[in-house]
Amino acid sequence: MVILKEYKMALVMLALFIGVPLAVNSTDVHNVIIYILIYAMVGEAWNLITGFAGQTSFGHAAYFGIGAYTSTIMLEYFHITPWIGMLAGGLIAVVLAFIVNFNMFKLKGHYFAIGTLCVAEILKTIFSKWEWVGAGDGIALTPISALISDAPSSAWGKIAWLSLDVRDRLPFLFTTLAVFCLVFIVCSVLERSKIGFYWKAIRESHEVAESIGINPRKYKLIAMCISAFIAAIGGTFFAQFFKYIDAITVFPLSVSMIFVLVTVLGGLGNVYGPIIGAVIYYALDLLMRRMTGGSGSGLNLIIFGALIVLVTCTEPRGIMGFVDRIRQSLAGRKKEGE
Amino acid sequence: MAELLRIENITKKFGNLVANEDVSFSVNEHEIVSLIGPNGAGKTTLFNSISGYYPPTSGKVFFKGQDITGKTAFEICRLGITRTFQVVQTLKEMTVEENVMTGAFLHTGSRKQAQIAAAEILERTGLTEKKNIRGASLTIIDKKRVEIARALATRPQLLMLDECMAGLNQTEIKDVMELCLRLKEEGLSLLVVEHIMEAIMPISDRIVVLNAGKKIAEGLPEEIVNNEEVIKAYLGDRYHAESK
Repeated sequence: MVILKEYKMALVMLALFIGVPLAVNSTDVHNVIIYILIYAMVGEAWNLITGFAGQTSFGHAAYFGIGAYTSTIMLEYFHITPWIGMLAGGLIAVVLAFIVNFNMFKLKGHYFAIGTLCVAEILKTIFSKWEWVGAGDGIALTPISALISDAPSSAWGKIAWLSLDVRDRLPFLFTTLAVFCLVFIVCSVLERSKIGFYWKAIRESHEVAESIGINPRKYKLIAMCISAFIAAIGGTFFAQFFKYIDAITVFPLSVSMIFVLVTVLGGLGNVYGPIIGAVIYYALDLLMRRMTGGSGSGLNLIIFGALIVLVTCTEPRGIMGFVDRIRQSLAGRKKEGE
Repeated sequence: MAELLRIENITKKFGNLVANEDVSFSVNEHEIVSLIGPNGAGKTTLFNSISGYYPPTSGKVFFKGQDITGKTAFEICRLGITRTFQVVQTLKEMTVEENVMTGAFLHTGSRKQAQIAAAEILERTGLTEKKNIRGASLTIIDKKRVEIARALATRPQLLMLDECMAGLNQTEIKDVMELCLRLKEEGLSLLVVEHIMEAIMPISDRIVVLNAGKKIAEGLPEEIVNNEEVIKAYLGDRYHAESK
């Protein structure tokens, strides 16, 4: 019962994420919800290292892209199910995060942020020149149905049920939702555990963290590695859904910034933040496309930008900060009433 | 009484500036040793050298007979020395209870255990009623209490307090004095940097005086107040002469 009460908000959200796609039978809406889940997932990942551990990363597209490329290459070149590709991508992202950040965590503040940005930019350049991964042309994913009909009796055909098939939107949407729920639970558990406390202590003050026996570099590295793993999983879902990837789609700064912005708007350092931010970002996107037609007029970005300025100026903890404030004042009023 | 901490010939230079020069003293078990001296005497630098924030240029630090010179701050904390900061550093976005739990996590991986340990320390430091307040909204005395509580949660054998009474009023200073004595009774040793003489004299077992980086005196409180060198350091030569 305590769990029910504490995670009331999560359960309401889960009900909406299941209910809305079932109730609204529109491919457009389903697409938007899938994007919300993917970006919220990577937002959760970014939130671990930046919201909790306080190390600003402007380069999460690096891990996102690694996930997208690894699973796609494994699927296209070797016919390995994306479920395994996703884990492989995650592991490669973890290894990369560890190697790169082992030394980069000596940098602090803005310098670290610039370093993370460079990592993504370097990968973008490498992948846009690398012939084996399609260079500038990128990789278009073969529809899974074609793979199956090509080789019905092959090993691939037998494990087709494990594939992430986008032909039907709804099963893919619910698969993404299930994985997102797993990510959300992992992040919530981490936040409430020893490691979460240590991350927050490091965020608030390196000096204090060290004075109470915390090795900041170790815990920052753990945060970065977990974060990279989740971001790579998000990248896999993106590639499977978008069916085409190239370096400009998955590695640029603009992609890193979406993870940053949805989380900052929703609530930095709050597990609900990325979800709320992503919902607003894509709801605006959908709304403006419906209103103006075509691929939208860019008006959604203007409104989103204005919202960020407005929210962060009045409440640095984002929309969840407002929610917390309202909750507290309600709780205060309740207490007075008693 | 067994010796807990011994520092030998500590010298710390920043470029040409000599912040500490050849300082040696020791702290025994169940003892409150105070480190006093005028502003800029090198007290905080010495604190940082002992607690591992930066290594001394030369000299050695021993804790329970083990050489800990050059170890990192978090390693030293795990061995049993925990410090507080002159500029009070509360973990602002965390509640009082969470601040203390973060310290308690040094000895347990379980949230429940940390909560139990924190509850006991909050009670000892008189913070139980404020446990749900965020660090940022505390008054200065409570911030200092939280800082001490968080340090205590790591269960140190030696607690190093850096000017924890500065900025407090008379009653608050009394509270901290009583807390120090209580901690000593409970078996801790304390190394205290302090400016407020009327607070430091009654609680200290021994006093070490620094001036311009050097140790100029060491002894019982009553010896120190009558020490010529110390009076000179605090009042200057001229006023020292006039006071005679």
